[in-house]
Amino acid sequence: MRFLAALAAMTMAVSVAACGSSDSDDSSTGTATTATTTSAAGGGSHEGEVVKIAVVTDQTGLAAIAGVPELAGVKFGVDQVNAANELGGAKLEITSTADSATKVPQAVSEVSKAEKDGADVVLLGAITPEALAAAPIAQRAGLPLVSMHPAENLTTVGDHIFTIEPLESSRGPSMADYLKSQGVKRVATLYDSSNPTTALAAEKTVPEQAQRGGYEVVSRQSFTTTDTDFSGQVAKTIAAKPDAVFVNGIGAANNGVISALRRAGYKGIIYGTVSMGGGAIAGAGADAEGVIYTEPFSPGTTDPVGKQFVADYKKATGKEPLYFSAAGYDAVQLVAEAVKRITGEIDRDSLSKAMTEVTEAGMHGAQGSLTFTERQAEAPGLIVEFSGGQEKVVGGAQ
Amino acid sequence: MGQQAANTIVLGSSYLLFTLGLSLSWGVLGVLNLAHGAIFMIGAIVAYQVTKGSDASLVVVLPVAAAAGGACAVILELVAYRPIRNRLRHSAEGDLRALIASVAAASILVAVGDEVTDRNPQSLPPSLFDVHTTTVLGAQVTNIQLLIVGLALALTLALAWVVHSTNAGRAMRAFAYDPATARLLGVSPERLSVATMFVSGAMAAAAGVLLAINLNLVSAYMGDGLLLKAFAIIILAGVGSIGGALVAAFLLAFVEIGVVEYVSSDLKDAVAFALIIVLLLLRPQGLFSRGAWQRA
Repeated sequence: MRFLAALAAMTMAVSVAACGSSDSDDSSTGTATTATTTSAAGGGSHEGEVVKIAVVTDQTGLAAIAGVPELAGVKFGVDQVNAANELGGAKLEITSTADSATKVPQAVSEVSKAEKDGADVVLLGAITPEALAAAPIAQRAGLPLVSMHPAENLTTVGDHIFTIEPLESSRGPSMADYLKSQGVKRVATLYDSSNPTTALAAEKTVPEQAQRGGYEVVSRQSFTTTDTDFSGQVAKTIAAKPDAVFVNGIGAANNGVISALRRAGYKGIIYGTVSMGGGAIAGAGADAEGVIYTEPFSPGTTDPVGKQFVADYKKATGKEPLYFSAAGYDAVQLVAEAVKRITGEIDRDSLSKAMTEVTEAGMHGAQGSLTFTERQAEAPGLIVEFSGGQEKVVGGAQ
Repeated sequence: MGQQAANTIVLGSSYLLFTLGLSLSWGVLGVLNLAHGAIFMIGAIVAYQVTKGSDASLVVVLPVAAAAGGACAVILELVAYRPIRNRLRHSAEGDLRALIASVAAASILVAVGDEVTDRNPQSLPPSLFDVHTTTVLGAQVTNIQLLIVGLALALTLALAWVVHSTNAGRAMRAFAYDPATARLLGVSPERLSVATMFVSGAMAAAAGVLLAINLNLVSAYMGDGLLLKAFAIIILAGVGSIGGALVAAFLLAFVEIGVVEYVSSDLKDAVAFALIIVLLLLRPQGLFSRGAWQRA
């Protein structure tokens, strides 16, 4: 009996270790496509050079909903870039994929490890607190880091830090115009105050939208990421008689709040941000019907580059890409475009400088035309309605 | 006002439903089971899996999920907690190792939850329980909320009756006082600990199903927030006090909803936990705590 118990305990320990470890990426096909020597337009010959990409994403934890498709988008992008063979003979290679597990210490540890292992660039798919903690490590080492999540003020950490997904604030005007067109006069906010990005959207972007859209913010209620009851805040919100309620949480919280609002009898507009995108609110079932949110990308995009990305991604994977995958794909495009500009040796410094040049010139990716302010992507984005289990583009850039 | 009163009753009942099982295992076995939130989640996960391939109703799914939760807790007891208790009885190191074991167990169960839900928040189908809203004394409540309130109160009364008025309850209290003496009195500590953990796990899993329907949410992390609240309730009540848990659960809910209504939702947790600190400073042993000799 004692032997069996010990055996079971060992099995549990091994399972825990397996769950928590980062592993090298044996599924990356970065070396699967044979590159031929071609000189990149404006760049030098990089025959035989390898750009080592370390990918750190939340594969587990609350933000795994984003991290998993982000990694898929990165892998797809690397495969496509290598197959196109336009980097002067250089190849992109995913040298490691690590799980930051939606935990700040884990994200810091994995970015440190990538730095020590000699990565040329880190692609980070982690929530704002993780990104803010990990970015200084990359900055001090001169290691370019691209965040695939929007993280307010992240690029102020330093000139080696980039953000490829546009901030919610850059989509604010589109949502304001949409709400105005729906006759909205009174708006309430119900948001996660324990996350800097969700809080900033509610406390800064929504009031700015209200000014533009000519409506009033009549109630402000908050919750935290691990809350499982929203009844008090929902009752206060409904009592303020809003025409629309701005809901902004992370992961499961959005579903809980949406259902709590509908079950408490709220019949007005529920709207939110990209945190509702990528199928995240599908689990709320019928309660999610008609919810509006902004996204930098949707499979229904009419942007030509975005449409091509959707078609290619579906062909390669058999699935429609989520916006997280589009962010991962665009992060790879940023690196690839930078490599094309490098005339000398590819290293962290030359890559970082070239990436800065790309952001100064702007780029066109799966998320559409991206401009950058201080290496932070911006784009008007799309307004999407969740209807019949699908996303329907109802406004925004198209 | 009426609506927030109804919200307080529902929230207090939810806290109570979650806390009862944890209070039982902590009070009787002295096990601070940090995997309780994960077992709660497993109840919802089992319901999610069962209803994926069938139109099974709550009458069928609830016992199945409860049995699964009970089995999880018993496995933990047999594989981890009991061996640690037996080797390091009466030592702080033993308590700490049991605590770490419960964290490891929770991690494994959460990983299972992540896999089953595909790392996305899911929900239970309407075929399991058709939620609809009704008006009671001017407040809007759903039928699942009424069920949660009724079941929380019924289980509290049932547990109090078992502990105080049955032979099994007397055995539990004797075991809580001194396992060695309880053995001399004919109590089998092995069977008692298995039975206690099964009931604790079953109650957690049943709570998981009901709260998943109420929240319209099945997530691997749905137990995280409740675990902290449950510990606060048990400590405030006094470990092992069932009546105390009832009072503390509703007190915490009352303060939280009151702060949202009259102060600010930003301060909900801060004010609630500050109040708990003040109460514990005034009565460190908890509001309803009695010594083990008194309980026995």
